[in-house]
Amino acid sequence: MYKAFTAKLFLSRHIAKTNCCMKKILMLLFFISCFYLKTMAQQFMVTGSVVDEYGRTLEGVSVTSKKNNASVATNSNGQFNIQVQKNDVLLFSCPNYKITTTNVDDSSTIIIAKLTHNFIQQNDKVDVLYETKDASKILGSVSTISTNQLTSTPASLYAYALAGRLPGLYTQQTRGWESTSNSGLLSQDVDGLYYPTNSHGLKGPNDNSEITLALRGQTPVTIVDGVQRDIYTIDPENIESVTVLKDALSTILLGQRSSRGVVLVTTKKPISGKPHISFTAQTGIQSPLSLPDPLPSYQYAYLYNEAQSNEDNQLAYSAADFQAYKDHSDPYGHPDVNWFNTILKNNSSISRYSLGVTGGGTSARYSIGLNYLNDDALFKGSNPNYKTNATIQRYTVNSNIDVDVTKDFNVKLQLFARVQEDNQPGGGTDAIISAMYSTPSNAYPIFNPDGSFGGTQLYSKNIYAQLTQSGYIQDYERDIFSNLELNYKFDKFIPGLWAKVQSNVSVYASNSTNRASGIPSYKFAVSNGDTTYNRYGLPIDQANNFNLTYSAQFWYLQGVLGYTRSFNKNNLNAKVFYDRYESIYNFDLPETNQNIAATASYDYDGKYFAEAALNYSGNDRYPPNKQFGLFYAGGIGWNITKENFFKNSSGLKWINNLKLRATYGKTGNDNVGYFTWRESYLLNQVIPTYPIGISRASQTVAVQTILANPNVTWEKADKFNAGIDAAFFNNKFLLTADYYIDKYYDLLQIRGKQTTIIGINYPYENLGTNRYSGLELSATFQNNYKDFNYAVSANASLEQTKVIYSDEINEKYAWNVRTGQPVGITFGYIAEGLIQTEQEAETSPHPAGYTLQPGDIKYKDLNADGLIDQYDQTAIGETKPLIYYGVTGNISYKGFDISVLLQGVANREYLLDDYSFGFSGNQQAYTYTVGRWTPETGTASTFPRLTPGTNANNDVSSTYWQHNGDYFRLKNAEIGYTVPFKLTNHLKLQSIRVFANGLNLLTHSNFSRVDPEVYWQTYPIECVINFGINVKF
Amino acid sequence: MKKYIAIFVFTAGFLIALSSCRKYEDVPVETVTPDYIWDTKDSNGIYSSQYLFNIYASLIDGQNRIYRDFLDAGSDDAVTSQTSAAPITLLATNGITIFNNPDDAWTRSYAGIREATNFLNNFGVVPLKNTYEKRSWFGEARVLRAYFYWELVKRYGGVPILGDSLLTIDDNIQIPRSSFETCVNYIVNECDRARDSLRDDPVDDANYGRFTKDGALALKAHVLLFAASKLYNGGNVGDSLNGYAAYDANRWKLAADAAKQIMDEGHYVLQDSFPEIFIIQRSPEVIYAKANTLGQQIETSNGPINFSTAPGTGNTSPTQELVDAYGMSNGLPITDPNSGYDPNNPYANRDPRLTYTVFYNGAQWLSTQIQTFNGGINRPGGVTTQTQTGYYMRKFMGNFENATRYEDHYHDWIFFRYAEILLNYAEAENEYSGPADDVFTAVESIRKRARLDPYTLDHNISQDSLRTVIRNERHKEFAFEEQRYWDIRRWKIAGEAYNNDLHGISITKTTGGLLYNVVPVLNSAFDESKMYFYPIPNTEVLSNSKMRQNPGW
Repeated sequence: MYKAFTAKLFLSRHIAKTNCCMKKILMLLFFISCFYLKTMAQQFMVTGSVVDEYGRTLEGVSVTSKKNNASVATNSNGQFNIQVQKNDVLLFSCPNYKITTTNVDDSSTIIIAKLTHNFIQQNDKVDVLYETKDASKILGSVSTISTNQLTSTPASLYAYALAGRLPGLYTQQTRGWESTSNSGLLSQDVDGLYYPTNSHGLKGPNDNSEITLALRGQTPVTIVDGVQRDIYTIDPENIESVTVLKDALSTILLGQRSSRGVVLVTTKKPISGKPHISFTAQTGIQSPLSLPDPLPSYQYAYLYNEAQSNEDNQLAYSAADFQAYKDHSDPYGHPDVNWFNTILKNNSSISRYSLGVTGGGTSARYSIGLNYLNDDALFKGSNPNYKTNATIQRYTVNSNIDVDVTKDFNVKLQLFARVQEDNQPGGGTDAIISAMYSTPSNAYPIFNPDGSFGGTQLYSKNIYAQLTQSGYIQDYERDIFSNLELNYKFDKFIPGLWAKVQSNVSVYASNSTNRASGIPSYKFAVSNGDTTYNRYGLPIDQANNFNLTYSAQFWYLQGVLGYTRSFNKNNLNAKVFYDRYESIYNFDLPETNQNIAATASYDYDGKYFAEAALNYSGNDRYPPNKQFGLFYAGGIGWNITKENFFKNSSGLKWINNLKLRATYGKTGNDNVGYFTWRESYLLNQVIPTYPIGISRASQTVAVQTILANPNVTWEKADKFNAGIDAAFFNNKFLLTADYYIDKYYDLLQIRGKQTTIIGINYPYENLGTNRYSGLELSATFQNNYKDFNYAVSANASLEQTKVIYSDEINEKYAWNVRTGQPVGITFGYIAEGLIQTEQEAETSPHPAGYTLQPGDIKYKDLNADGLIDQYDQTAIGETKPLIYYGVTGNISYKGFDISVLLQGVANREYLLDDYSFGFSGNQQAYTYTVGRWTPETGTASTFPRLTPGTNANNDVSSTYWQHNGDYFRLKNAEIGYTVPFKLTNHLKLQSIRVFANGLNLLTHSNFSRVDPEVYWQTYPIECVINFGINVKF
Repeated sequence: MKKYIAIFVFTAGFLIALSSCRKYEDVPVETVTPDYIWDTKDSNGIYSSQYLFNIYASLIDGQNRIYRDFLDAGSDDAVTSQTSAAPITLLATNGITIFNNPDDAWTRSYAGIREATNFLNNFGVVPLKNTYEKRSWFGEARVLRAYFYWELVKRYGGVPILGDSLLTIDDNIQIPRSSFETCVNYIVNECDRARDSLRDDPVDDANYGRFTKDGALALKAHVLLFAASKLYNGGNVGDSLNGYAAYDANRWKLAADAAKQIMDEGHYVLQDSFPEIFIIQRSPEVIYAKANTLGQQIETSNGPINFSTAPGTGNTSPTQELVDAYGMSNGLPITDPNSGYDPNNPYANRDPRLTYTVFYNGAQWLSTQIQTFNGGINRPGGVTTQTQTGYYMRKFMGNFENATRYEDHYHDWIFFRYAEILLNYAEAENEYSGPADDVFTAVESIRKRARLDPYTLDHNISQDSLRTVIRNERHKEFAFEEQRYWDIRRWKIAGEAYNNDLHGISITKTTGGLLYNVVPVLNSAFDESKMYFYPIPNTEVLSNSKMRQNPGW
């Protein structure tokens, strides 16, 4: 019976492909084939089940036999029975999962097939602000990435993994190591006392000091599971998805914070079933990139002499000095130290371990994520008594409990905690790095003949001593948040009515224990056979200072009453919303934000969409009675593919989805500062002070803080976004495009038309208007050839900014005006190469009080007055729109999978002004300095003539120092191998995967001397190669 | 079912209560509103006194004030030792512009004026018990305000006078400059008004550091001396904004009278020892000084380099021009054939003030001799900041000749001292009535204190010769006290002072002894068509349509 049935199925497939009028012949064939089948290869039944990575059964997976072309689907227990032939191959396919095949040898096999998720997932549900929404109903501009795109990046912050993956999100790395503050808080450390903390209103603790994020040009608000906190240290293994919300409608519930856009992080939520455990261990090697090449001492001395003679100064070094530097015959008197090699190792390690457990029954579920990170810096050297290298040790815990108290009542409780211990050498990480860049090779020997540390009056802090003999500083950071959510459905009383209450409490505290000490350095000298050691600096006993460095506390409460109901094809979702967010930083008074909002969304049959929201939002830092404002947003959408004409047209079958959508809204940004509306005085100030009487008794003073601005109000924005979502070829090709135009106005600025006759600094006033507009595209193609799965996803963003209005002084010349230029564009001089001759030097325009010489930079004298001054400065930055993009590719075959991320930026420029011998003229010089102007090198020179220290003509912002910042990187790559399930199953394990991945593997940039992102003198950017194993059981 | 609704409602209510019942102050009480400063109940006026001290604290302290340099490192007396382009150098090389002026005083002076006006307008409501004190506080704010105006006028010429108005954020500030004459009259009148209510001299020890009657008078004498000087009085380079229309000898008389008044009152005398003036707790010579707490900043910033136990960064390099200004201890200038000056032993038998003002090669310091010959310990060459001229600044430092390390000492910044009053008087009286006995007496008293031997002058010299002596005496006496910089301007001799390069000494140690070579160190310059007045900051001209720029800018 089975056989016959299978044969029929087999045939019916053919029938479908055949012309209908051949029915009769086919009927005949049917009987013939029945006869033949008995003589064909042996057929038999196999049974099996299909599971996911965690061994959870999957329902509805299509199972196809290759030889029989038979197809069945798994039942609710994930099981299937299928007729196969000997040595058959079964192919499993399921939406959002990779196609997988299994060989069938004989009937005794009980097949367990394991499906893994597609690299790029298209989820039906997307996490948006405070809720989860059907992807098909979203009208705004929302982009999401999920776990597997985050975990392949070996870094200490998940922010590293966001580069190039989300359209509209621009990233720039600014440092290679975190920056911490070790100084204790003082009562005057009130946030934004005199002015808003920055133009984007960013405030509060932020554990990301390494990567700058800008969402459509604004610093986004970060929300982790409904908690407004800038936390970037969550382990990627624990993150379900990261979503960016870019338009007004998607963020309107933030009211006075809705202008900036949102980075929404959703951590992994409990899944019911027997306990599933996933464990990952990985360790990586980090090596520095783009370190400069310092000059050896003899070259340094030679160039320094040249600089001195250029300025008619006395020469600093003699021929004997050169010789001693060159042949290293006098290592103590004429040292030659490469500080980079002395201070930094070639590589350091980063290790991460994470454990995730989830499970539960139908009414209660739980999940726990535990993570540990150990990140070592590149410092060399050690001390037997304490750790001197800079390190980060981080422990995080995230736990969730999700209980259905009744069918209608659900309670969720989340607890997240982070404990982090950072160590750094007593000299301070930043100070040591800075000294490493600035100390010349010939400054002093590391050690003197007697073993003491070398030093001079000018370089009295021996860097190696700062690193290894100066104690240590530890920082402790603690984050805790608890998040409670109650949901109730009132369906029994009024169908569709529900209520939600969410509350979270979040605290952050950091302190440091400074156990730094000091050790003097000595200048060794021999004169007339007499050896002297001149001491610089004093020995300082190891300190033990405990400092509170930051403290913050947040209270959040949200209450929602909602109504979700469908009438025939009319789907309605309406809610009233209230929330209250109170933040307390250090010595600040608490700040309270409140939102009272109502939203309604409607769609007809998933075809026509409309949504609107009103938010009455307030912040108590504004003047009394001027604290609340009304913000609103609305959107419409049209899914063309749901129209009958579309459905009925066979020619359009290849289009699976085509949705047009648009939103518009007025948003706010509460960039208020600390009670700037109030004329106030600070009492008992000790700086400045005025000592009086012959005892010089210091008198504390009272100072007026700032000219009050009683009219201060929130910044606003009008934001428009239009987009299109499309899917083609059986949803294999997806396309999303968005266009936006955001006008930010009432921006806080210091007025330009000001006079200091008023006698006090003007406060920030609501003056400016900027426009940001842009285009974002993302396209994904995902397909398979048999069980060879591949996916490519690309996104690109184009961003143009313009200052529409800023209160500028009445500039004398049109080229001095900033209004109309891109926001924040660099101003400077236009360089016209280096001056080559004495005659050219005499006739070229010059700064007041400066005599030009050959080898100086020549500037364009825009107002033709013979002088180079501010009137000749103009916009020298990039005026074309900024472009940033990323391309992700993934292939997988059998157990192997490979993914890469290319990321890049175009139309970017940056200014890197170089001083020969540093700002003060006594610092290190690098190999590029050798390309300086000399009469011999002339126009081939790549650096102006050398002068000791800053030069009034050459060391100013100009196009000479402007570099093309375009780059693209092989940002990330990963190769993994999953051990066949057959083998792991024997070990009672669900899966074992080994992998290797890397970060910043290759970089191409037009100006390659420095890294295009981290181009100043700071802890270097790093290339990371990482190996790991993941076990699920 | 109802039970669970109850739980839901109860929990929700609890959370709301938890979150909303927390009440804090509406505004931060540590930042107080004006009515706390002008407290109508505080008979001690604690907060208003703090506010008054804030005005005092707004006064500048000349020690290394311009990006680590003394203002006089922008005159012909010194250059900076900093190897990089130091802002001070702009002042001596025609480098200041309408955009950039390292000695810009516009913003800070108007800030001080606002603070003083705020005090004068509001302090009346504070019921200070001691009426003598209350009157004095008013006077102090008034004379401070006059001083801030003077800071402006000597740099820019006539400036907008705001009187008692306190400008607000809503004012569209379009105020024209007042004429130089109006400004001088305003300042002088304010000094007179303040003097009426200020404390009598000498002030008690506890109030040392406050302006007194003679302080106001000293400011008046100083201002009048400037106003009578050539730059404004007869040598006017611009229009009424920059000086008087015509010369009037009577202006010298006003200046002389103001100085004489202080001399006649006799509250102040010359300190017996010249170097002590700057380092002791309270010199009988000091009329007004901005008090400083104990410290060694002078030494660490300007002391010779390479003393390992007494580190100094040697920021200030006095010029050969300054060194040459000091004559011999017999009172004769080094150019005088009878002076006994030996170019091969140039620092022997010089005016003792040279040793107290400048470190030269061989000078005693920290129990050793200064070595500023090329390659010497204190001028080693290499990248280290070190003297550019072969000299370091010695003035204002403690007496560490025979010490091994620096110790804390007082280093008040002196605004007015009695020596200036004497020389102001001498200069004005010599201009008004020519060489007279009391002019000689005044100058000789300075020379006597300086231990010149003989200190007396030939009483038969001409007015011009006496003028030269007085100017030289000012040069030597007030080096680095922010006098020379302004003197060469008001005398209108800045052209010759700057336009011949500035020099240092290059000393080569040979087996035969030391070879002294005068070498140029700075290609200084002065554009006489415009540099006598600073440019008004460009933003002021562009945002205030009534603001007129100074000539030449």
